[in-house]
Amino acid sequence: MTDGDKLLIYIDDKIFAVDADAVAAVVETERFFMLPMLQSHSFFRKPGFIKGVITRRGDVVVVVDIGDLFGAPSVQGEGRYKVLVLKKNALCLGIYVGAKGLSFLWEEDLKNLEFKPLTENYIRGMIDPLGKKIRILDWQRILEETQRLVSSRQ
Amino acid sequence: MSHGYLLLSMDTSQYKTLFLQETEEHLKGISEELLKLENEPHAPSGIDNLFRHFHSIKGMAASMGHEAMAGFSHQLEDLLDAVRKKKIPLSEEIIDVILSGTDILQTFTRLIAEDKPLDIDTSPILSRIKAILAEEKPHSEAADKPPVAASPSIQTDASPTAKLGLPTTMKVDSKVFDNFMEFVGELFTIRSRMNEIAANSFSVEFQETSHQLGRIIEDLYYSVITARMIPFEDLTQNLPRLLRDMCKKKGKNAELIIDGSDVKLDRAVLEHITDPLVHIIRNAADHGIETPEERARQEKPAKGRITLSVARQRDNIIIEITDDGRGIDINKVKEKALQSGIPEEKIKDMADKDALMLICLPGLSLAKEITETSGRGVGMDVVKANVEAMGGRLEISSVINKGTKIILELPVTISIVKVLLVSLGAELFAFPISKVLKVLDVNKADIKNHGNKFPDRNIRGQAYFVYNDTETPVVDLRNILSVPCLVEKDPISVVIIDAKDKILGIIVDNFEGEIDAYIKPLAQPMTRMRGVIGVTVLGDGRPVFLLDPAAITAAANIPYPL
Repeated sequence: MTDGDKLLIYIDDKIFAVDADAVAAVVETERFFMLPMLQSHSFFRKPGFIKGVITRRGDVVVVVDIGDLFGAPSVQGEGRYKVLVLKKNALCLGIYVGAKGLSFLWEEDLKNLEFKPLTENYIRGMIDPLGKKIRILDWQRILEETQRLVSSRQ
Repeated sequence: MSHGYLLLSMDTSQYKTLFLQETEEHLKGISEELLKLENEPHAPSGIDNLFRHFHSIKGMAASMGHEAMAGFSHQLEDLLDAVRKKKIPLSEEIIDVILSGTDILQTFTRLIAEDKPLDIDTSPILSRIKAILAEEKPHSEAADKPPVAASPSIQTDASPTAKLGLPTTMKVDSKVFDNFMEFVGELFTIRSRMNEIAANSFSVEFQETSHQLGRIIEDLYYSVITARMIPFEDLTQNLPRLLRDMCKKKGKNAELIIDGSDVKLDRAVLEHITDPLVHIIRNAADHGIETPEERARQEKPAKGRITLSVARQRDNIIIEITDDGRGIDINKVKEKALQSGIPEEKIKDMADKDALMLICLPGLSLAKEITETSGRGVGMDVVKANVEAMGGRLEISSVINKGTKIILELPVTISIVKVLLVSLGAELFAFPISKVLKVLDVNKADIKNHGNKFPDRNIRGQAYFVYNDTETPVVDLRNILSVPCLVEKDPISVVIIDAKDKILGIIVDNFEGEIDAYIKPLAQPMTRMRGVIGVTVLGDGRPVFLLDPAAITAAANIPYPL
């Protein structure tokens, strides 16, 4: 597994990783703003994993809570919320990472690790350094799913 | 400039800038080719390129009615043609004549730019051309002779030795203007914030400075927006060809009449309507216009007619696309809508105008066969979505066997929009001021709900109040956006909006004033969100989504058109 450095996110007892070169920023914010979604029918429910939006340098970024997405307890922040802003070309998504710290797994450490593809939703696969079971996030799939859910023509 | 000789009978003043810009480019091209030719006289493409430049200048000058310039270019073109056909060899003399001729064309261009008469004595150059052409002999005879020594050059004021000059017009990538607009948009947002601070400041100097800065930002905005305005014609020039090709494929005959193509719009607006316009024209040609045989049976002229007219009405652009084809069968539309699952009770009492809008439902197509161009039911919904995403409006009317008319009402610009800010708790939202009729404080007791004294927060289009002697439906924005109710107040704040042709009251927590907002289009993953036109970010970093009143109306289940 050698496709670049990874940034590790700790959610509950799970560890997720994203490609470090997709990380545009880690921002701290005091609040999330509402993403206005029009109710189209009485049984409409907002997707729980969409936390809301933040702004960064004049851009509006949709933030998702991957804890909620993977059935873990919703990430809790303490006053300030830490958000990982992922960007690739015109695609941009915020990942809410709570108050926990982030760490890196460098490319040279990854060289000797075996990458196991997984069929789990939004996960590209897994690496297992010292039994840590790190899931590699497919954040663009999460973005696609977010788009599908907030779209008017589902 | 592809308008060619068609411009002869038209007012050409609007094309002057384009003419000057393109002539400058050709003259620059001529200078470059001549310099290359001096170093490489036998390069075959050089003469051809030169010939094309002079030919283009001649055509453009004639189109603009500058006969003296066109005639002079023609003489130079003749000279090059003789070289091209190897009737005379290329010589220093010829290069010199062409250079001098180019200087004269440069002077013509300057005089045109200054709106001065083209009063130049070209006879010395013309005599030299005549003399050279009189000596015409086959190239082969002269090919090996050394080049003829050049006669002294004629000095015109355009000669590089007389004066160095820069063109008065420039070609600039449209992205540069997009960036300008983004900066101006941010300045607008900061101005709004500054106005707020200034209003609460005791410093008169600060207030005055803030006001002055605001004026400058506004002037800057109008300069940038003017630079971004382009004529509608830039969008429509390929449509006649598109129609021709479509008709040819379908064995039909139709003409496209375009009226008002000189109306200018913000480039961003034009970008959004490119696809819708093509789709509407295709629909008209594919489903509207009949075959010549069918038209003969209907006693219609063999050639169908599609009219595209554009007009400006205050801050809006009205685009009307009319065809004289077979029209839309409303009963068939209703039938299809039923088949697609829309409840019968909703359809049966629908006014014709509203029923026609059903063709904008995703997946609803009346076409019996899916053609290469239309009938996949993926068209009119996108047209409607694009138009409404800009805060515009779509209207359809049709008469069987007479034709169909589609009206697009669009803002002239979509970048800076005057908006009304409203709040729901700590969240801010905006409505386009153009759709706001009034803001009112309404007593709870005045809001009725089918016998109930005051609606709870489940209004869903059931509640109304009397506004201008009319029962006006009210909806609660909290309910529409699934925001839990906080503290209710009395009286309540209601925004009266003109949603399409219906009036609707929207309950909000508070009015937060008006601002000029730079509205950005929604980025992924928000691009296809219903009911949101765009977003602006305030100076303090708060995002404000611009809501679409028409979509809110639809979400409120009010029996409005789609």
